[in-house]
Order: sequence, then structure tokens, then C-alpha cells
Amino acid sequence: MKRLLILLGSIIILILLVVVWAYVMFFGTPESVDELLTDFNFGDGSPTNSLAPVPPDTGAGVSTATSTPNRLRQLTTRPVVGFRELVPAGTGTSTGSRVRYVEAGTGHIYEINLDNAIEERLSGTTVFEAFRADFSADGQYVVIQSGYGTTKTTTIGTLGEASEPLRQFTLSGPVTDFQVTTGGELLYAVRGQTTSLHAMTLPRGASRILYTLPFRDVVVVWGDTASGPHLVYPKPSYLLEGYLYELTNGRLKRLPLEGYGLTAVLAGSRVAASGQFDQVPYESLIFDTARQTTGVVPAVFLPEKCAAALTTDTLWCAVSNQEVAFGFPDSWYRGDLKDSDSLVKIEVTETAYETSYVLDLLAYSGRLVDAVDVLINSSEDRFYFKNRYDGTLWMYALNE
Amino acid sequence: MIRPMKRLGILYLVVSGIFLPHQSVVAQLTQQVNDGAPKIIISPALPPPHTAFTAQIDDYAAGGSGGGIRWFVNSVERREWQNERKITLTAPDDGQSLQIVSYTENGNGLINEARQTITPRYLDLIVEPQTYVPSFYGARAVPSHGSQVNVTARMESGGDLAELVYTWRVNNKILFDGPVRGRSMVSFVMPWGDAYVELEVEKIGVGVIAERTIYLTNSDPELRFHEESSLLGLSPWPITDLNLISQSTTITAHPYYLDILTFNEPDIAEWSIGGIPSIGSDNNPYAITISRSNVEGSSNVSFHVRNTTNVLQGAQSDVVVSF
Repeated sequence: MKRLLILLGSIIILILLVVVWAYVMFFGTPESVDELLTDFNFGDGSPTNSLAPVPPDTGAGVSTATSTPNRLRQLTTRPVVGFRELVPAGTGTSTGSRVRYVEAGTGHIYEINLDNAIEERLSGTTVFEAFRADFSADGQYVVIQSGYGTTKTTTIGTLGEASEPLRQFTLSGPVTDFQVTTGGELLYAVRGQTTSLHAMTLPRGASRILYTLPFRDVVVVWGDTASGPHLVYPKPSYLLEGYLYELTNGRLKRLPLEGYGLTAVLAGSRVAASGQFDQVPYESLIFDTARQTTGVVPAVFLPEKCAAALTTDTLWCAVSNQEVAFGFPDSWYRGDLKDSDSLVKIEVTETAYETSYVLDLLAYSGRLVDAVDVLINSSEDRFYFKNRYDGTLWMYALNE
Repeated sequence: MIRPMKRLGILYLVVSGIFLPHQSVVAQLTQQVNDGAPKIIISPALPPPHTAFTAQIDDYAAGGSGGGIRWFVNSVERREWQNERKITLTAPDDGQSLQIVSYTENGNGLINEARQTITPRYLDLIVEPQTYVPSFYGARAVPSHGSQVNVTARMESGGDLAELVYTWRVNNKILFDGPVRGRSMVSFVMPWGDAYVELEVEKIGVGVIAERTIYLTNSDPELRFHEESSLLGLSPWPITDLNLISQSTTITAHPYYLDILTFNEPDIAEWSIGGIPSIGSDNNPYAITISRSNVEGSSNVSFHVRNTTNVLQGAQSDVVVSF
């Protein structure tokens, strides 16, 4: 009898151990008493952190559009310093598209097939401390900037076969900014006593000066051809006034926009600008260069976090979930602000700007996202951006 | 002989005494009327392009009696402003002239004409403080106490900048002892407190064609620490605390808005770890490489940079490193 009781007790203990093992295997280690009770459905079993993402208060006049999580994709886990979407010639669609990118630090070049997500390395040539890059439209040429201070160099590379090293040569001069046009020209800015703007045909064409500016610390928003239009303005600061210029065919023209903390971006025949204008707190405007009219946009954005879809007259912007505080945009450039963005669509009509909130990037991705280097592809159905926090490359499908 | 001459002289004096004062009065009256013609006062005197300005009739000297007023802008009558003494207009684009004419009827029924032509011009003063900011910093440096500031003037129209005459003032003190031809760029040291920078641009033979005043405020230098990797280079994100996972790392100190002269040759540039002075990198006093030891814990890594002559040109801060 005694032996039977011991046997029964052992069997019960064994069963209990199996149950505990199964619980830990399928539910994980409970972190709190509430979670433990919840897992066993004692009382109200609904977890406390299942609230639907709440759109941030982006101001009056901003409506809320719907979006599905599948339209947002993280394309890389590696930090990226430059990228370009390559579309098969003659299709006019993004089917069969690939994204070519340069990895931060190493300068290695990879390509992702967007249809099947297969990634392959195209170049293993190392460019140490690579921090900025751009490709030609066909992806054959790449411009990579690396180093810091006196060791900063600008390298132009030609991609050959995968087994071949990157054929490269170094561009002379302290290059502060550059962009490759769809026509295969490299537009770049060189800083000396003042800043001069140059153009050269890749890979090793002769360089020519487009314009020499009378000042040094400038931001250049490059157009798509060497003749422009390009936007030029002094680097922004909330303490100093900025002035906006348009450079076209070698002639610099002042636009009627000036203000503290001024930044701007080209949006087709329009200019989107933000700053403190006429003693009004920080706001965002759209200036129509053809009609010479200006309108205030309900949402406040940093123009370099916006890209224009020209066929639909729409501006897509990554807008911070925080309200603009004193010291903006300097605090953002210094990296003092740690926040996440939401994607906002601004449709430009004849008489107004219809602003709609599309999605909260933190809520849908679970990650803090500060979108920079934003780009809309040529078929205007994809919005690419880099996450400033970790340098990873992301994509949002605009029309799905 | 003498008696007729004497009579003639007396007669002359009498006649002069009667008529000269009258002529003098007439002359005075005429002069008064010429000086008292209505004028158009523009405010501000040199409005920038696309900005609002006012045009006001000043007919006080002409003895304005509330007679009719008609306004013409570029030869087109603006009936909506009829009988208004003050109107508001918008300045045209840079370099385009706007002619304003007013016809004022005085109490005697006489019509007086007044004219003004304005030609607005952009006068941009681009401020470039010579203070330190990291090369990856996308914003502009701002001035700090005693730092050098470069200001460049740019005009869209008005002629060759080298032929114009510039009168620069900083806090009401004129620079270069007076107007200087072709001096479109100046450098000065930020004074204590803040600075008003004024510029008047004059064209020879025309007069002042543009003017502008800007306000500059001093900022204190601020220290930020960044981690530097041998592969990825300088991280653009500032650190306030660091978990040292690898065996070693390099931390660089960036004193934002420190005068560039002090940054290049600081009197004091000191690192300390846990309060103990440490030696920074050989070729960069603003960098220090730290490596973990066998013990675990955390420590304050501090940096201090300063100009001992101008002690406001300096910054000091620390970062907590856990290892």
C-alpha cells in the first residue's frame, strides 16, 4: 500500500513537471503576476498593451487615411549610406525592380531583388569609413564619400563583374555635397573660401564650374540636370536668417522666401519650405514658382524629409510626432531630438493643401524611425527612406 | 548841384522803402508756396520686394484743407483710394520700379502734384560665424562671445557690387571710419551681449538704394561627445552614456560654437577619467581612446576646453561609460 502511494505520488509529480515544461515552452517565462494570471485566463484576459496606434496630433486640418502594415517593409539590416532603385528598361513599372545600395563603413555594394527579396553582393571592394554614396541611374557608377576631416575623400567607382574589384579614382577638392543625375552627370559642391558648384560626366569627364556662390556654408538641393533648377540657401539655424535662391542655367535668382531656420526642397514647379517667416512660429509653406504665390500647409515638416510625386501633385513627408520646440531645427541636426516619424501625404490642389496622416512608423514597425534621405521612385509608387537611428533602408508602397 | 542829387536820393530811399519790403514779402510768399508743396512719405523708406509699405500725403506745409486727393500707381488711377491721405501698397519684385503720383486740391482750388518712385531691392546679409561645428552637422554655426563673425552682403540688382558704396555699423558704431566702395563683406568680433548689424548701400549719383538691419545673439559653447569607430567612422549621434561592449573605443569631444581660433589652439584641452587627468589621442586633443580593464563598473569621462584670455570661450562636460 505504501509502495503504491509512493508510486502514485511520483506519477502525479511527473505529470505536473510535464505540464510546467509545456507551459514554459509555449508561453514563455511570465514577467508579472498579471501576465501569469492572464495566461491562465483568470479574470480579464485581455493584455493591457493592445491599444490600436493613435494618430499623433499633427494640427488642425489633417485627416487620417488608412494603411496596411504590409506596405511598409524594411529592406536591409545593414546600415546604408546611399541607394538607388533600378527599374528594367522600357517597362515603365516597378515590376522586376532592384535596389542597389552601399553599406556604411565598408563601402561594399549590394543589390536586392524586390520581387523575391534575394540579396547579393556586387562589390567587395572596401572603402573605409564610407558615409555617403549615390549611384547613376543605371547603377553602373557609384560615388562614395569616406573619411573625416582632412582624410575625407570622394571616390568614383565603376562596377564590373562581381569578381572584379571596383575600378575607382578619387575626386580632388573638399567635396561637401553631391548627387548623380539620371543623365549620368555628377553634380557636386566644393568648399573653399566660398562654395562652388561643379558638374562632370561620369566616370571621368572634364569638370566644369556651374556657379561660384558668394558664401561658404550652403545647402544645395540639386535638380535633375546640370542646368537646374537647383535650390541654394545658407545652412539653417533658428538664430540666423536664411534666404532662398534658385540656380538655373548659371544664373542665381532670389526667391521671395526668407526666414529663421529656413530649409527647402524642390517639388516640381513648387518649393516646399519651412522656417520662421515674418515673426510667425515655425511653419511650413509651399511656394508656386510659376504663379509666385505662397500657401501655408497645415502640417509642419522638415522639407528634406519630403519627396514629391509629380504626376499626382502630392508631397510625401515624414513628420515628427513631437511638436516643434524652441531651438528647432538646430536641435534635430545635433541629434538632441529622439522621436519617431509618421508618414503624411500633402495633396496640392488649385486652392488648398489637403493633408492626411497615413501611418505612424513606430506603431507599425515597433521601431523608432527618423526618416531621412527620402526618395520617390520614377514610377512614383514607392517611397524609400533611411532610418537615421540605425541607417537601415526602408520602403513604403504608395499605391497598394 | 548837390540839392537835386539830395532830392533824388531821398526820393530813391522813399520809393525803395515802399516797394522793397513788398517784393521781399512776395518772394517769401512764393518761396513758402514752393517749400510747402505736398510730398509723399514712403514708410519704410526702402521697402524690400513683395512687402507692404505705406504712402502718405504730407500737405501740412501747403495748408491742406481736406481737399480732394487722387492716387495714381504706374499711371493707373486707383479710385478706391480717392481722398485717402494714407494708402498701403505692396512693393513689386526686385529691381522693378513703382511710380506713385498724387494730385491734391488745396483750399484755393489749385491742384498740387506729388511724385515718388520706389525701386525695391533684396539686400541679403548672410552671416557665417567662425565657430566650430562638426563636419556632419547640417545646420549653421552660431556666434559666441568674442568669436569672429563674417557677414556677406548680396544684392540681386542695383549694379556691380564692387561699384556700390557700403556703410556698415555694428551696434551703431560705424566700421572702417565711414562708407567704403566695394566692401560687400565684413568681419568683426562679437561684442558682449548681442549685436545689431546695419548696412546702407549707396549707388554713386543715385543715393541710398537699400538698407538692412539684422540682429545677432550670442550662444554659449556646448560640448557633445561622439563615438568613433575604425570602420564606420564618426557616429553622428551624441552620447551621454556609453556601454562599452568591445575591448576599446574612441570618444571624440565636439565643442559646438567654440570660436575657431580657440578650437585650433586651446589654452586648456584636458581629458579626465574618474576625475584623474588622462592623455588624449596623440594627433587629436579632442579624442581619447579608452579600453576596458578586468573589472566591471562605470566611470565619468570628462573633457574641458577653454581659452584662458576669454574664459567664456570654453566648455566642459562628461559622459558616463559603463564597462
